[in-house]
Amino acid sequence: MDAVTLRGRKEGFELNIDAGADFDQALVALAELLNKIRLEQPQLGSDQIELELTTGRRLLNDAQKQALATVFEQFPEFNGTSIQSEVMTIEQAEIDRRENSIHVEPNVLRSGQEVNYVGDVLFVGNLHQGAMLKATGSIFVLGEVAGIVHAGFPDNAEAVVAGDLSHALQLRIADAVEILDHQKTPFTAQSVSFINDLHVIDYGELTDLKQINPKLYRKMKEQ
Amino acid sequence: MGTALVITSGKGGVGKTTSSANIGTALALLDKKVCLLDLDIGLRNLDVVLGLSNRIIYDIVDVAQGRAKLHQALIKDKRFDEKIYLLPAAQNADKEALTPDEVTAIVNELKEEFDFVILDCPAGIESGFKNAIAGADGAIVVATPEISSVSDADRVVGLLEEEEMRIAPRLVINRIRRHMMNEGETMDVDEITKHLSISLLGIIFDDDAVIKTSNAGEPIVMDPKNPASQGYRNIARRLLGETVPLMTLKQHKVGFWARLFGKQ
Repeated sequence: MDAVTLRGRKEGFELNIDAGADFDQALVALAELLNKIRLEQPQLGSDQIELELTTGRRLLNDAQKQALATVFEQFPEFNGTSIQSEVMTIEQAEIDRRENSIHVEPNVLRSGQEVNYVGDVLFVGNLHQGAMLKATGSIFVLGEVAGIVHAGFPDNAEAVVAGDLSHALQLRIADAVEILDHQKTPFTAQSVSFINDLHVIDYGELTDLKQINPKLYRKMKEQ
Repeated sequence: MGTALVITSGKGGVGKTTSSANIGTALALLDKKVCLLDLDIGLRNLDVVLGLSNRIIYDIVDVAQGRAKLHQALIKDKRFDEKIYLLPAAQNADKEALTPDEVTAIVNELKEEFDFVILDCPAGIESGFKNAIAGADGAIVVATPEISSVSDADRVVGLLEEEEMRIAPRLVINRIRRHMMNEGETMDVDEITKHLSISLLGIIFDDDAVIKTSNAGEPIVMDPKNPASQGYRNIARRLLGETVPLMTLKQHKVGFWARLFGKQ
């Protein structure tokens, strides 16, 4: 198998760099291949051709990406900036896993304490007055809340807060802040708070979540 | 090796010093050797409550900075032969005069000699508080049935939990006015304990005699009949591992005839 292969696909051209090949040799092969195309198709050059680079089970490091870019600099008629790999680093996988999983917070959060989460939070602890629970995703409240909950921190307006907030001081979603007036908004365990189309915090029932936030509903169904 | 307990509250004026003096004295009455440490640098008053202020020569800052030996600075309370000692705070230094390491060193030295080392913490959560909790094995959080006090106690419990002491913090609810609590005008004992979610060590009823005896430099626990004194005595017994039931909140109503003819 060649170190570098070019395929035509429905979406465009795919340039595969074989994961088993030596990278330096692959770069030489790539330069040769591009040069060959340039010689055989001299009419090229008016439009830049997008090449989708795939590296299979090889993950390019920064130096390798730089080397690739240097090769493409010699062939301005091709654009090879999009690089796809079938693998990812453990670090990146861990970040993704954290962002897409639900965290359970079982502790008592006391006055002055602030807890931050990346992703969604299932809150089963006790949030005291003066404490704050922040999450980049949604917050699902089972425990008692007397402090401040902040979902979608800092700017994720898709986030919701589900559960009983009848003793909470403030509700924050993304950049919206609501000082809760408990006469006005009676909460139950089935309540859901969200940001509506006017970018104002609004309240509904969990059974209506599909209408309120279809995107979140789909995401939950997939999980 | 003794146990060092810090008495703290966050909020001022809830009875940290009074509780320190009385819990310490109650432990001494149960035949334990107790050293009381005043860490409220600049605003010392544990010595006043114990009636020992006229005998201060050296203080804790002198010890920390090597101007005096520890045993030179310790003041013996003559009423309880060899049972209670006080290490007073400095009055003319500020709170930054001590470091957590210095306090820990002093407390560790005292723990070798005493059964209990009681640290009277200053109000607030700044350096004075940090010094006080650094040397302690456990904490007693004092709160009164007021929302401001409970809220501050909550903050303090949070800070204490971060510290991960050997003994989990315990709660003393001080200055309970029985009639107000019975009528639901203040948070009740269960509510406060549940809110702070730490175990309850004891309750102390509000009593005029506490102030009166404090002014006289004589801890209330010396009077065995007084309800506040009984509360402190129960706390001391619980600290030693005894199981003592909580005092009842019910008030004894004085009848009409008893009021007419009863002795005051």
